[in-house]
Amino acid sequence: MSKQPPEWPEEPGDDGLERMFAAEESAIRDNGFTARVLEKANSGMSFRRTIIYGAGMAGFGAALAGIMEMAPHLPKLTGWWPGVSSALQTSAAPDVSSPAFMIVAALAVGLGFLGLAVAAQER
Amino acid sequence: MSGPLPDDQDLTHAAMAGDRKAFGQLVARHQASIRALARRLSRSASDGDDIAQAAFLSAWRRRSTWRGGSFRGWVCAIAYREFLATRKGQAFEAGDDDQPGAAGETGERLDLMRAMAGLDESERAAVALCIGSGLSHAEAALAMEAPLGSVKSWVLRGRAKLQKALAAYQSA
Repeated sequence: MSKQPPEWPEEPGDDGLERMFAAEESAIRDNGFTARVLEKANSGMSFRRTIIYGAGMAGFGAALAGIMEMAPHLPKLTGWWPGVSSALQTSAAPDVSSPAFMIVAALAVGLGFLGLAVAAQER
Repeated sequence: MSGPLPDDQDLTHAAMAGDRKAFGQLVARHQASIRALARRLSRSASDGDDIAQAAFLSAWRRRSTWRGGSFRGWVCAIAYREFLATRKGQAFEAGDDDQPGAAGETGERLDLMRAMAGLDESERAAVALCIGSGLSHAEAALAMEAPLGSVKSWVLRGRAKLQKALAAYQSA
């Protein structure tokens, strides 16, 4: 049991409840809350950006480097897509030495990093 | 020199465009409201403040997703989602420090906390959003991702239960 102040309504109705919620809210003091939020907002953003874009660029770089390194082994452009298609079709037991398979894998890694970066940015 | 305080709409537009100072003013203006909501949802002052902080930070980081409307309503919805996300990782069992009255609440504030603790979770959330934070039923339905009719029903039932509990405390 608690003692009620004199302004307590006979039957708590709409006004009573809203007033009580408002009184509860008005009792909350800032006590450095805003400063802490702003401090985290300022520091978190640059750190997060560095990590996200760094990871994204590393993934892209890895994928690109993989393709460049395989340049001598790349299939001719005219036969490129059928090579990729056949690599995808045989993906149940992929031939990892196949340049087409390596290209698909490298691009998948790059896209994976990009997807993670976007997801992390949104989080 | 001091001019008239900028209104929420101007501040919100500036903050959503990346103005940190405007965002800071909005946080200062609405921190009590958002913390009160988060405390009511989690039934814990410390967990509530953590949720409120996460909600403001999330609002700042995702400011590009703001599609208009009131800043407070938007952050209330984010706070509710933060509460749900946090709850997945831990059970909100009120500890000794978070029991009603532990923080020095007395009188009707203590009674309100006890009455809120007696509501179902959906009722408590709907009451906290609509009656406590002043969101419309439609805004609360969006925040809770629940049908409008359900939200109206939860508010109605929650209000009735609160009134009954508070009347009982008063007559005790």
